[in-house]
Amino acid sequence: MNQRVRGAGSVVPLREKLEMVRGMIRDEADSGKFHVDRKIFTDTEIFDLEMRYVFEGTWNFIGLESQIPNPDDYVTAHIGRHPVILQRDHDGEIHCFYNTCRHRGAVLCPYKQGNKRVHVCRYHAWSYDSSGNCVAVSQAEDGQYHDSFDKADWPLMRIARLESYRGFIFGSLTDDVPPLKDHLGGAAKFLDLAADQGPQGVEYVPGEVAYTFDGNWKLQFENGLDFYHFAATHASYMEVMKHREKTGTMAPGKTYEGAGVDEATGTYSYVHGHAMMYAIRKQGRVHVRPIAKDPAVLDEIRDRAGEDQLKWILRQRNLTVFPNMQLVDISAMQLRTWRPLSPGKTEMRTHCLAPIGEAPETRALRIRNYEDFFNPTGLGASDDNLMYEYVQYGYEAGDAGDTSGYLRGLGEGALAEDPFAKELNHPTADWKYGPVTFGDESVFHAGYREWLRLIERGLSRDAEAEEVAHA
Amino acid sequence: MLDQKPDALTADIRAARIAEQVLAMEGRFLDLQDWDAWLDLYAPDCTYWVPIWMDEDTATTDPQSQMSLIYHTSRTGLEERVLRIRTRKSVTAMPLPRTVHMVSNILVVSQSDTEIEGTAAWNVQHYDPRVGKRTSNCGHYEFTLANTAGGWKIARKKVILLDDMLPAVIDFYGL
Repeated sequence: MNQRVRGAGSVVPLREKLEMVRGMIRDEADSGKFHVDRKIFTDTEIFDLEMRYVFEGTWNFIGLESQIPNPDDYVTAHIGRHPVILQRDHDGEIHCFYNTCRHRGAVLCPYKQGNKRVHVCRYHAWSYDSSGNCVAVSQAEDGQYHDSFDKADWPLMRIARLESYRGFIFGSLTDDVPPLKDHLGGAAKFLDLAADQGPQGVEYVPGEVAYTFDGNWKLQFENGLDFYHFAATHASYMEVMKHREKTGTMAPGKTYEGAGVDEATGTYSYVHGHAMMYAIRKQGRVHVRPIAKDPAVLDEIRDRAGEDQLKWILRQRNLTVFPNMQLVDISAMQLRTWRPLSPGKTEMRTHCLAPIGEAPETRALRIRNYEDFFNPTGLGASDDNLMYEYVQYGYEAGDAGDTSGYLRGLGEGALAEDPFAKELNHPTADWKYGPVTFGDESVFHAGYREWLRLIERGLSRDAEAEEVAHA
Repeated sequence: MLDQKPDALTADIRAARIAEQVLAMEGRFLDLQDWDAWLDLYAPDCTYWVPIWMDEDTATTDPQSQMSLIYHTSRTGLEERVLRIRTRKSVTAMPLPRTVHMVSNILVVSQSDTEIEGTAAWNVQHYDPRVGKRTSNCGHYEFTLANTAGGWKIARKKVILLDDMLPAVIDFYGL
């Protein structure tokens, strides 16, 4: 049953499938080569493997604790293909349930968010409290159930694992994952740099922006770590910025860097596919950061979190928490998640992330900065979204050979040591540092290595199970 | 509802006609990609606002504390969007979609010699030659027109887009 029919009656054994997948990522980084097969962006069989073994085989970001601050608050989401409810119960504990009625499977809660002490299925009115207990089976007495029937045996099904780090909630559909902290590794440092921006942590500004693009999810994964595209893809945005400076509608750029710090970009790669890129820009090249609008706010952060933490809060940072979340902190802070719908279609859910309790004027500036660049209606992200569609279009040329998009950064850098190792003091798997025009692409490798590890692991296990079953 | 006294009726009909004319002209200029004529329909201190949906039933109401898709408090924001297209450097505009704007159900809510406020329904057919696909956007407008030395101008436009699952790109010419 783990075999899938491909084409007219041909069945691909799992072992063969495993070999096929291994050939898709050719990792020879030590000799300057790293190739990703175009087919993993377009192939439906690969897509099925990704959903099953990547998204449903590891930790996924689900939501923020601050989205459900009160007893009985909930939000709905997806992990891989599975709809889930992230629910705070009446006593304040957070649970994550599959969003499906135990009776006949209807989606229990079709709303995005709300507050419910009891969810009543609209099909036959089976009811569940906010702790997941089945509290009512309608007309149970007249239902001629067998004596052994007990509604206590039919609670909402919990996902395998649920943990929170600094208010960022992650869930896994499989038990076979390390503790969240170990899973995040050094990437946790950059969640700290978001959470540390307010004494009470961060929240979403009300209003989610959701959209789809006709492209594979890995195009978003790559682009969120891709500094190289900025000058070309966002050339029209840069023209608008120049126009604003010329006409005085925008304040001149600022820097928050000390005189001794060079303009630079760099990347960090971590365990389990996470990675981040940063940019250090000087005078005239940095927008006013909302967090820096009020010097008292910076003082408060410095006192609470320390000088090094503040320094990094003010730098441009793009974090990917593999496989489904990116946190971008530039002129505003964005948290985006994606849900792959098919090889060629991806759903995005995006939010403006902000310190809880931020001053109203700062909040308004943050929102305007956000709308300016992000959103399908913004002057930046819309260009990215269309580029994903153009790449997807190009990748349909499946026989056109290797692409060279994973090679920048594989040579020798100018520095022998990470200049920020002391400041950041976090575990990394790899670091790269270079000028603003560096555009490291080796930062994508960690994600592809984890992608392959998860699919290999899943396929090997299923192949073994199948062989045992047939032995 | 319409006041039946002849003078009042004349004023109402006049206001409805002005609103219809301005909105039709706006759609026409956008369809013709005559950006300068389009911009000229807006007052320099106009508000152009596209809120988003908070939940299944409610759109955002406060752009200072909630997200919007677009919120400009002067014509400058619209001019920058035109400038971006004209740089010929944005892939969103290479090529631009062809559009047909249709505005209907125009209702004048209040009118005076200096100001007309109203609502309308809109539909934009949007053909993208890049992918050979026609899609459509639709929703409601709320508008305020101001009588200026240069004629009736749009002083405020709120565009409520029906969808909350958006396409990859959406801009002023598709709203």
